[in-house]
Amino acid sequence: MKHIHLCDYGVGNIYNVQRALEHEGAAVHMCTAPEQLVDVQAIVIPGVGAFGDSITKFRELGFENPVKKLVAEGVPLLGICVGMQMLGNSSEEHGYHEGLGIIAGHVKRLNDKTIPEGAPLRLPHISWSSLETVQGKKWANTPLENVQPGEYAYFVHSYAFECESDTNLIATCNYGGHKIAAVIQSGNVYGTQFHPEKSGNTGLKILNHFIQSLA
Amino acid sequence: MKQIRLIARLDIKAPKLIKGINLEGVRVVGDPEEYAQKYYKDGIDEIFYMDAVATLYGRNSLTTLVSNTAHNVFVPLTVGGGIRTIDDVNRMMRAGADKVAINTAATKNPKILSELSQRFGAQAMVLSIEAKAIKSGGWEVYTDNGRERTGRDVLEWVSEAKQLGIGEIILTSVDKEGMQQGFDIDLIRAVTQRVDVPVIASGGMGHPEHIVEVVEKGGVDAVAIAHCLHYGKFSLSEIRDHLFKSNIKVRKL
Repeated sequence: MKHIHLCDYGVGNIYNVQRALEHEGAAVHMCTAPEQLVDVQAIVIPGVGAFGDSITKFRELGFENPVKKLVAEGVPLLGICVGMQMLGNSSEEHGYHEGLGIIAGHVKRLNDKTIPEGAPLRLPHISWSSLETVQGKKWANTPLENVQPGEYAYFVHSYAFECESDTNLIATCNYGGHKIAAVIQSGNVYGTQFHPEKSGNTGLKILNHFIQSLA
Repeated sequence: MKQIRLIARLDIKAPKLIKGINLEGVRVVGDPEEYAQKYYKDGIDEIFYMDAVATLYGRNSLTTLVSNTAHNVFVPLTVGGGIRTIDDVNRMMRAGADKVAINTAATKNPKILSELSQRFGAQAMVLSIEAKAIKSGGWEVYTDNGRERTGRDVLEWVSEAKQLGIGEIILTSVDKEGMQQGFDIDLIRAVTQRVDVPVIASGGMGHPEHIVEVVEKGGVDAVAIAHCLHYGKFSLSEIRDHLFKSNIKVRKL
Protein backbone atom coordinates (compact mmCIF):
# COMPACT_ATOMS: atom_id res chain seq x y z
CA MET A 1 0.00 0.00 0.00
CA LYS A 2 1.30 3.44 -0.90
CA HIS A 3 1.03 6.15 1.72
CA ILE A 4 0.47 9.85 1.21
CA HIS A 5 0.72 12.49 3.91
CA LEU A 6 -1.69 15.29 3.08
CA CYS A 7 -1.03 18.64 4.74
CA ASP A 8 -4.29 19.98 6.13
CA TYR A 9 -3.38 23.53 7.02
CA GLY A 10 -6.94 24.76 7.18
CA VAL A 11 -7.72 25.95 3.66
CA GLY A 12 -10.79 25.16 1.64
CA ASN A 13 -11.92 21.79 0.49
CA ILE A 14 -9.18 19.18 0.77
CA TYR A 15 -11.51 16.24 1.20
CA ASN A 16 -11.77 15.94 -2.56
CA VAL A 17 -7.99 15.65 -2.77
CA GLN A 18 -8.11 12.94 -0.12
CA ARG A 19 -10.85 11.02 -1.92
CA ALA A 20 -9.15 11.22 -5.27
CA LEU A 21 -5.88 9.95 -3.80
CA GLU A 22 -7.73 7.10 -2.08
CA HIS A 23 -9.56 6.35 -5.31
CA GLU A 24 -6.18 5.88 -6.96
CA GLY A 25 -4.97 3.48 -4.32
CA ALA A 26 -3.25 5.53 -1.64
CA ALA A 27 -3.68 5.36 2.11
CA VAL A 28 -4.03 9.03 3.00
CA HIS A 29 -2.83 10.48 6.30
CA MET A 30 -4.36 13.87 7.04
CA CYS A 31 -1.79 15.97 8.87
CA THR A 32 -2.97 18.99 10.77
CA ALA A 33 0.41 19.35 12.47
CA PRO A 34 3.99 18.63 11.39
CA GLU A 35 4.38 16.12 14.24
CA GLN A 36 2.19 13.85 12.16
CA LEU A 37 4.74 13.78 9.33
CA VAL A 38 6.12 10.40 10.39
CA ASP A 39 7.25 7.57 8.08
CA VAL A 40 6.52 9.81 5.13
CA GLN A 41 6.53 8.20 1.70
CA ALA A 42 5.17 11.27 -0.11
CA ILE A 43 3.59 14.61 0.66
CA VAL A 44 0.71 16.41 -1.01
CA ILE A 45 0.12 20.09 -0.35
CA PRO A 46 -3.35 21.11 -1.51
CA GLY A 47 -4.36 24.73 -1.86
CA VAL A 48 -7.38 26.89 -2.46
CA GLY A 49 -7.85 30.58 -1.92
CA ALA A 50 -5.34 33.34 -1.45
CA PHE A 51 -1.59 32.79 -1.32
CA GLY A 52 -0.94 35.05 1.66
CA ASP A 53 -3.62 33.44 3.78
CA SER A 54 -2.43 29.95 2.81
CA ILE A 55 1.30 30.41 3.35
CA THR A 56 0.67 32.15 6.67
CA LYS A 57 -1.42 29.26 7.95
CA PHE A 58 1.11 26.75 6.61
CA ARG A 59 3.93 28.47 8.45
CA GLU A 60 1.96 29.13 11.64
CA LEU A 61 1.27 25.43 11.96
CA GLY A 62 5.00 24.78 11.66
CA PHE A 63 4.95 22.84 8.39
CA GLU A 64 7.63 24.81 6.54
CA ASN A 65 10.88 23.45 7.93
CA PRO A 66 9.82 19.82 8.40
CA VAL A 67 8.51 19.73 4.82
CA LYS A 68 11.64 21.35 3.41
CA LYS A 69 13.75 18.83 5.32
CA LEU A 70 11.79 15.90 3.89
CA VAL A 71 12.09 17.36 0.40
CA ALA A 72 15.84 17.72 0.85
CA GLU A 73 15.91 14.01 1.77
CA GLY A 74 14.27 13.21 -1.56
CA VAL A 75 10.70 12.60 -0.41
CA PRO A 76 8.34 13.16 -3.37
CA LEU A 77 6.00 16.10 -3.03
CA LEU A 78 3.00 17.28 -5.07
CA GLY A 79 1.69 20.84 -4.67
CA ILE A 80 -1.79 21.59 -6.06
CA CYS A 81 -2.96 25.04 -7.14
CA VAL A 82 -1.99 27.41 -4.31
CA GLY A 83 0.03 24.45 -2.99
CA MET A 84 2.06 24.65 -6.20
CA GLN A 85 2.36 28.43 -5.98
CA MET A 86 3.69 28.16 -2.43
CA LEU A 87 6.66 26.16 -3.74
CA GLY A 88 8.01 29.35 -5.33
CA ASN A 89 10.02 32.25 -3.96
CA SER A 90 7.26 34.83 -3.76
CA SER A 91 3.76 35.91 -4.67
CA GLU A 92 2.30 39.33 -5.32
CA GLU A 93 -1.29 38.36 -4.47
CA HIS A 94 -2.79 40.95 -2.08
CA GLY A 95 0.67 42.22 -1.18
CA TYR A 96 4.11 40.65 -1.27
CA HIS A 97 4.51 37.22 0.34
CA GLU A 98 7.49 34.91 0.55
CA GLY A 99 7.04 31.33 -0.61
CA LEU A 100 8.87 28.19 0.42
CA GLY A 101 11.58 28.66 -2.20
CA ILE A 102 11.62 24.99 -3.25
CA ILE A 103 11.23 25.71 -6.99
CA ALA A 104 12.65 29.01 -8.25
CA GLY A 105 9.87 31.26 -9.44
CA HIS A 106 7.44 34.00 -8.63
CA VAL A 107 3.67 34.11 -8.56
CA LYS A 108 2.16 36.95 -10.54
CA ARG A 109 -1.33 38.05 -11.46
CA LEU A 110 -2.61 36.74 -14.79
CA ASN A 111 -2.73 39.24 -17.60
CA ASP A 112 -6.27 40.47 -18.19
CA LYS A 113 -5.89 41.24 -21.87
CA THR A 114 -5.72 38.71 -24.68
CA ILE A 115 -2.81 38.63 -27.05
CA PRO A 116 -2.54 39.72 -29.73
CA GLU A 117 -6.00 41.33 -29.84
CA GLY A 118 -5.81 43.14 -26.50
CA ALA A 119 -9.41 42.16 -25.77
CA PRO A 120 -10.51 41.88 -22.11
CA LEU A 121 -9.79 38.51 -20.55
CA ARG A 122 -12.03 37.44 -17.68
CA LEU A 123 -10.39 36.52 -14.41
CA PRO A 124 -10.28 34.15 -12.59
CA HIS A 125 -9.23 31.77 -15.31
CA ILE A 126 -11.98 29.22 -14.73
CA SER A 127 -11.77 26.67 -17.46
CA TRP A 128 -10.92 23.23 -18.64
CA SER A 129 -7.73 24.00 -20.54
CA SER A 130 -5.58 21.60 -22.49
CA LEU A 131 -2.14 20.59 -21.32
CA GLU A 132 0.67 21.25 -23.77
CA THR A 133 4.22 20.01 -23.77
CA VAL A 134 7.21 22.26 -23.33
CA GLN A 135 9.82 22.03 -26.06
CA GLY A 136 12.44 19.45 -25.34
CA LYS A 137 10.61 17.95 -22.36
CA LYS A 138 9.21 14.48 -22.29
CA TRP A 139 6.51 13.51 -19.85
CA ALA A 140 7.91 10.02 -19.28
CA ASN A 141 8.83 9.39 -15.65
CA THR A 142 6.68 12.28 -14.47
CA PRO A 143 3.07 12.13 -13.22
CA LEU A 144 2.10 13.19 -16.77
CA GLU A 145 3.49 9.99 -18.26
CA ASN A 146 0.05 8.53 -19.13
CA VAL A 147 -1.42 11.86 -20.25
CA GLN A 148 -1.58 12.78 -23.93
CA PRO A 149 -0.71 16.35 -24.89
CA GLY A 150 -4.04 18.08 -25.50
CA GLU A 151 -5.88 16.40 -22.63
CA TYR A 152 -7.85 18.83 -20.50
CA ALA A 153 -7.53 19.75 -16.85
CA TYR A 154 -9.56 22.07 -14.62
CA PHE A 155 -8.01 25.42 -13.80
CA VAL A 156 -9.40 28.05 -11.44
CA HIS A 157 -6.97 30.82 -10.52
CA SER A 158 -6.14 34.48 -10.99
CA TYR A 159 -2.42 34.18 -10.29
CA ALA A 160 0.17 32.01 -12.00
CA PHE A 161 3.66 30.70 -11.38
CA GLU A 162 6.47 32.13 -13.48
CA CYS A 163 9.50 29.83 -13.40
CA GLU A 164 12.87 31.49 -13.15
CA SER A 165 14.25 28.65 -15.22
CA ASP A 166 12.47 26.83 -18.02
CA THR A 167 14.08 23.61 -16.85
CA ASN A 168 11.41 23.47 -14.13
CA LEU A 169 8.50 23.90 -16.54
CA ILE A 170 7.09 20.66 -17.93
CA ALA A 171 3.59 21.55 -19.11
CA THR A 172 1.69 24.70 -20.02
CA CYS A 173 -1.82 25.73 -20.96
CA ASN A 174 -3.06 28.65 -22.99
CA TYR A 175 -5.40 31.37 -21.75
CA GLY A 176 -6.14 34.30 -24.00
CA GLY A 177 -2.95 33.69 -25.91
CA HIS A 178 -0.77 33.64 -22.78
CA LYS A 179 1.18 30.52 -21.87
CA ILE A 180 0.57 29.60 -18.26
CA ALA A 181 2.65 27.18 -16.17
CA ALA A 182 0.46 24.12 -15.74
CA VAL A 183 2.97 21.65 -14.29
CA ILE A 184 6.37 22.41 -12.74
CA GLN A 185 9.04 20.03 -11.48
CA SER A 186 12.26 20.00 -9.56
CA GLY A 187 13.63 16.55 -8.82
CA ASN A 188 10.89 14.71 -6.93
CA VAL A 189 8.85 17.86 -6.35
CA TYR A 190 5.91 18.55 -8.66
CA GLY A 191 3.35 21.29 -8.82
CA THR A 192 0.10 21.42 -10.77
CA GLN A 193 -1.70 24.73 -11.21
CA PHE A 194 -4.87 22.81 -12.09
CA HIS A 195 -6.80 20.57 -9.71
CA PRO A 196 -6.12 16.93 -10.59
CA GLU A 197 -8.85 15.89 -8.13
CA LYS A 198 -11.34 17.88 -10.22
CA SER A 199 -10.07 17.00 -13.67
CA GLY A 200 -11.94 13.77 -14.28
CA ASN A 201 -9.94 10.92 -15.75
CA THR A 202 -6.99 13.04 -16.79
CA GLY A 203 -6.51 14.21 -13.22
CA LEU A 204 -6.96 10.75 -11.76
CA LYS A 205 -4.29 9.38 -14.12
CA ILE A 206 -1.85 12.02 -12.88
CA LEU A 207 -2.53 11.20 -9.24
CA ASN A 208 -2.34 7.51 -10.04
CA HIS A 209 1.12 7.82 -11.54
CA PHE A 210 2.36 9.95 -8.64
CA ILE A 211 1.12 7.32 -6.19
CA GLN A 212 2.13 4.18 -8.04
CA SER A 213 5.65 5.41 -8.71
CA LEU A 214 6.39 5.72 -4.98
CA ALA A 215 9.07 3.29 -3.87
CA MET B 1 -11.36 31.31 -28.90
CA LYS B 2 -13.01 31.00 -25.54
CA GLN B 3 -13.41 27.58 -23.95
CA ILE B 4 -17.04 27.08 -22.90
CA ARG B 5 -17.95 24.96 -19.88
CA LEU B 6 -21.02 22.72 -19.85
CA ILE B 7 -22.57 22.47 -16.40
CA ALA B 8 -25.36 20.11 -15.37
CA ARG B 9 -27.83 21.86 -13.11
CA LEU B 10 -29.74 19.62 -10.72
CA ASP B 11 -32.53 21.19 -8.70
CA ILE B 12 -33.08 19.14 -5.61
CA LYS B 13 -35.99 18.67 -3.28
CA ALA B 14 -34.05 16.26 -1.09
CA PRO B 15 -33.66 13.49 -1.71
CA LYS B 16 -35.08 13.80 -5.21
CA LEU B 17 -33.95 15.47 -8.41
CA ILE B 18 -36.78 17.70 -9.60
CA LYS B 19 -37.51 19.90 -12.54
CA GLY B 20 -39.74 22.93 -12.69
CA ILE B 21 -40.93 25.48 -15.18
CA ASN B 22 -40.24 29.14 -14.42
CA LEU B 23 -38.63 27.74 -11.26
CA GLU B 24 -41.85 26.20 -9.95
CA GLY B 25 -44.32 23.47 -10.81
CA VAL B 26 -42.17 20.66 -9.60
CA ARG B 27 -41.88 17.23 -11.22
CA VAL B 28 -39.80 14.48 -9.70
CA VAL B 29 -37.15 13.19 -12.07
CA GLY B 30 -35.24 10.67 -9.97
CA ASP B 31 -32.16 10.04 -7.86
CA PRO B 32 -29.75 12.96 -8.16
CA GLU B 33 -26.67 10.86 -7.37
CA GLU B 34 -27.41 8.54 -10.28
CA TYR B 35 -27.88 11.45 -12.63
CA ALA B 36 -24.70 13.17 -11.43
CA GLN B 37 -22.73 9.95 -11.90
CA LYS B 38 -24.08 9.50 -15.40
CA TYR B 39 -23.26 13.06 -16.39
CA TYR B 40 -19.76 12.67 -14.96
CA LYS B 41 -19.20 9.51 -17.00
CA ASP B 42 -20.57 11.27 -20.10
CA GLY B 43 -18.03 14.07 -19.62
CA ILE B 44 -19.90 16.97 -18.02
CA ASP B 45 -17.54 19.79 -17.02
CA GLU B 46 -19.19 20.64 -13.69
CA ILE B 47 -22.16 19.73 -11.53
CA PHE B 48 -24.39 22.33 -9.87
CA TYR B 49 -26.77 21.26 -7.10
CA MET B 50 -29.47 23.75 -6.19
CA ASP B 51 -31.50 23.13 -3.04
CA ALA B 52 -34.90 24.20 -4.33
CA VAL B 53 -36.58 24.31 -0.94
CA ALA B 54 -33.80 25.66 1.25
CA THR B 55 -35.58 28.92 1.95
CA LEU B 56 -38.72 27.07 3.02
CA TYR B 57 -36.78 24.93 5.49
CA GLY B 58 -34.40 27.68 6.51
CA ARG B 59 -31.25 25.82 5.55
CA ASN B 60 -29.46 23.90 2.86
CA SER B 61 -30.06 20.16 3.26
CA LEU B 62 -27.67 18.89 0.65
CA THR B 63 -24.55 17.97 2.64
CA THR B 64 -25.15 14.22 2.43
CA LEU B 65 -25.84 14.41 -1.29
CA VAL B 66 -22.73 16.54 -1.80
CA SER B 67 -20.59 14.12 0.21
CA ASN B 68 -21.88 11.09 -1.62
CA THR B 69 -21.39 12.74 -4.99
CA ALA B 70 -17.90 13.96 -4.17
CA HIS B 71 -16.94 10.36 -3.41
CA ASN B 72 -16.75 9.38 -7.02
CA VAL B 73 -17.42 12.42 -9.16
CA PHE B 74 -14.12 14.14 -9.82
CA VAL B 75 -15.25 17.36 -11.48
CA PRO B 76 -16.11 20.67 -9.78
CA LEU B 77 -19.22 20.68 -7.63
CA THR B 78 -21.14 23.86 -6.84
CA VAL B 79 -23.94 23.98 -4.27
CA GLY B 80 -26.59 26.63 -3.82
CA GLY B 81 -29.78 27.24 -1.90
CA GLY B 82 -30.05 28.60 1.63
CA ILE B 83 -26.38 29.35 2.07
CA ARG B 84 -26.13 32.27 4.45
CA THR B 85 -23.14 32.19 6.79
CA ILE B 86 -19.47 31.29 7.00
CA ASP B 87 -20.53 28.13 8.84
CA ASP B 88 -22.86 27.13 6.00
CA VAL B 89 -20.04 27.57 3.48
CA ASN B 90 -17.58 25.68 5.68
CA ARG B 91 -20.05 22.82 6.04
CA MET B 92 -20.50 22.61 2.28
CA MET B 93 -16.76 22.71 1.58
CA ARG B 94 -16.06 20.01 4.12
CA ALA B 95 -18.78 17.91 2.56
CA GLY B 96 -17.02 18.19 -0.78
CA ALA B 97 -18.30 21.30 -2.55
CA ASP B 98 -15.79 23.39 -4.48
CA LYS B 99 -17.97 26.44 -4.90
CA VAL B 100 -21.11 27.82 -3.30
CA ALA B 101 -23.80 29.84 -5.00
CA ILE B 102 -25.44 32.60 -3.02
CA ASN B 103 -28.51 34.69 -3.79
CA THR B 104 -30.87 35.63 -0.94
CA ALA B 105 -28.24 36.11 1.74
CA ALA B 106 -26.27 38.44 -0.52
CA THR B 107 -29.26 40.57 -1.48
CA LYS B 108 -30.12 41.03 2.19
CA ASN B 109 -26.54 41.66 3.33
CA PRO B 110 -24.17 42.30 0.40
CA LYS B 111 -21.15 42.49 2.73
CA ILE B 112 -21.39 38.72 3.20
CA LEU B 113 -19.88 38.38 -0.29
CA SER B 114 -16.64 40.08 0.70
CA GLU B 115 -16.50 38.23 4.02
CA LEU B 116 -16.89 34.90 2.27
CA SER B 117 -14.53 35.80 -0.58
CA GLN B 118 -11.81 36.76 1.83
CA ARG B 119 -12.28 33.65 3.91
CA PHE B 120 -12.69 31.07 1.15
CA GLY B 121 -11.35 32.85 -1.92
CA ALA B 122 -13.36 34.58 -4.62
CA GLN B 123 -13.08 31.54 -6.89
CA ALA B 124 -15.32 29.63 -4.49
CA MET B 125 -18.05 32.28 -4.56
CA VAL B 126 -20.69 32.19 -7.25
CA LEU B 127 -23.30 34.91 -7.20
CA SER B 128 -26.64 33.42 -8.16
CA ILE B 129 -29.02 35.87 -9.80
CA GLU B 130 -32.64 35.14 -10.66
CA ALA B 131 -33.71 37.80 -13.12
CA LYS B 132 -37.20 38.66 -14.23
CA ALA B 133 -37.92 41.19 -16.96
CA ILE B 134 -39.51 44.46 -15.89
CA LYS B 135 -42.23 45.69 -18.26
CA SER B 136 -40.70 49.14 -18.52
CA GLY B 137 -37.29 47.71 -19.37
CA GLY B 138 -34.44 46.09 -17.49
CA TRP B 139 -34.61 43.21 -15.06
CA GLU B 140 -35.31 42.84 -11.38
CA VAL B 141 -33.45 40.55 -8.99
CA TYR B 142 -35.66 37.86 -7.46
CA THR B 143 -34.95 35.32 -4.75
CA ASP B 144 -36.53 32.14 -3.46
CA ASN B 145 -36.84 30.47 -6.85
CA GLY B 146 -38.33 33.48 -8.54
CA ARG B 147 -40.97 34.03 -5.87
CA GLU B 148 -39.70 37.01 -3.88
CA ARG B 149 -38.99 40.44 -5.31
CA THR B 150 -36.01 42.41 -4.03
CA GLY B 151 -36.57 45.71 -5.79
CA ARG B 152 -32.94 45.54 -6.97
CA ASP B 153 -31.96 46.21 -10.57
CA VAL B 154 -29.90 43.32 -11.97
CA LEU B 155 -27.23 45.45 -13.64
CA GLU B 156 -26.68 47.67 -10.60
CA TRP B 157 -26.56 44.56 -8.45
CA VAL B 158 -23.87 42.87 -10.52
CA SER B 159 -21.68 45.99 -10.39
CA GLU B 160 -22.09 46.22 -6.64
CA ALA B 161 -21.38 42.53 -6.13
CA LYS B 162 -18.31 42.60 -8.35
CA GLN B 163 -16.81 45.31 -6.11
CA LEU B 164 -17.39 43.15 -3.05
CA GLY B 165 -15.68 40.09 -4.49
CA ILE B 166 -17.22 37.26 -6.46
CA GLY B 167 -15.65 34.65 -8.72
CA GLU B 168 -18.52 33.94 -11.08
CA ILE B 169 -22.15 34.72 -11.74
CA ILE B 170 -24.81 32.14 -12.48
CA LEU B 171 -27.57 34.03 -14.20
CA THR B 172 -31.03 32.44 -14.37
CA SER B 173 -33.82 33.95 -16.37
CA VAL B 174 -37.01 33.28 -14.42
CA ASP B 175 -39.04 33.99 -17.56
CA LYS B 176 -37.14 31.55 -19.76
CA GLU B 177 -36.44 28.80 -17.23
CA GLY B 178 -37.94 25.44 -18.21
CA MET B 179 -39.53 26.84 -21.37
CA GLN B 180 -36.92 25.31 -23.70
CA GLN B 181 -37.14 28.28 -26.00
CA GLY B 182 -33.66 29.61 -25.57
CA PHE B 183 -31.84 31.81 -23.09
CA ASP B 184 -32.63 35.47 -22.44
CA ILE B 185 -29.91 36.84 -24.70
CA ASP B 186 -30.55 40.51 -23.93
CA LEU B 187 -30.29 39.89 -20.19
CA ILE B 188 -27.14 37.86 -20.53
CA ARG B 189 -25.41 40.28 -22.88
CA ALA B 190 -26.25 43.18 -20.60
CA VAL B 191 -24.60 41.40 -17.67
CA THR B 192 -21.50 40.16 -19.53
CA GLN B 193 -20.96 43.67 -20.81
CA ARG B 194 -21.40 45.15 -17.37
CA VAL B 195 -18.82 43.10 -15.42
CA ASP B 196 -15.82 41.01 -16.33
CA VAL B 197 -16.28 37.98 -14.10
CA PRO B 198 -17.16 34.70 -15.80
CA VAL B 199 -20.90 34.31 -16.38
CA ILE B 200 -22.85 31.05 -16.50
CA ALA B 201 -26.14 31.23 -18.40
CA SER B 202 -28.97 29.25 -16.85
CA GLY B 203 -32.58 28.77 -17.84
CA GLY B 204 -34.10 28.18 -21.25
CA MET B 205 -32.07 25.67 -23.17
CA GLY B 206 -34.19 23.48 -25.43
CA HIS B 207 -31.71 22.67 -28.15
CA PRO B 208 -27.90 22.79 -28.50
CA GLU B 209 -28.35 25.66 -30.95
CA HIS B 210 -29.47 27.76 -27.99
CA ILE B 211 -26.00 27.32 -26.54
CA VAL B 212 -24.41 28.53 -29.78
CA GLU B 213 -26.67 31.57 -29.65
CA VAL B 214 -25.98 32.48 -26.05
CA VAL B 215 -22.21 32.06 -26.48
CA GLU B 216 -22.00 34.05 -29.70
CA LYS B 217 -24.51 36.77 -28.82
CA GLY B 218 -24.48 36.73 -25.03
CA GLY B 219 -20.75 36.42 -24.39
CA VAL B 220 -21.04 33.77 -21.66
CA ASP B 221 -18.28 31.51 -20.40
CA ALA B 222 -20.44 28.57 -19.37
CA VAL B 223 -23.93 27.20 -19.75
CA ALA B 224 -26.07 25.36 -17.21
CA ILE B 225 -28.23 22.63 -18.69
CA ALA B 226 -31.09 20.94 -16.87
CA HIS B 227 -34.15 19.87 -18.76
CA CYS B 228 -32.40 18.66 -21.89
CA LEU B 229 -30.16 16.36 -19.91
CA HIS B 230 -32.58 15.17 -17.22
CA TYR B 231 -35.25 14.17 -19.72
CA GLY B 232 -32.73 12.71 -22.14
CA LYS B 233 -33.65 15.10 -24.93
CA PHE B 234 -30.02 15.35 -25.93
CA SER B 235 -27.00 13.42 -24.78
CA LEU B 236 -23.85 15.24 -23.83
CA SER B 237 -22.03 13.91 -26.85
CA GLU B 238 -24.81 15.13 -29.14
CA ILE B 239 -24.56 18.55 -27.52
CA ARG B 240 -20.78 18.58 -27.81
CA ASP B 241 -20.86 17.46 -31.46
CA HIS B 242 -23.29 20.22 -32.34
CA LEU B 243 -21.07 22.78 -30.62
CA PHE B 244 -17.90 21.58 -32.35
CA LYS B 245 -19.66 21.81 -35.71
CA SER B 246 -20.68 25.37 -34.87
CA ASN B 247 -17.11 26.29 -33.92
CA ILE B 248 -17.86 26.60 -30.23
CA LYS B 249 -14.90 25.35 -28.24
CA VAL B 250 -15.78 22.80 -25.56
CA ARG B 251 -13.66 20.18 -23.84
CA LYS B 252 -12.61 17.29 -26.06
CA LEU B 253 -12.76 13.98 -24.24
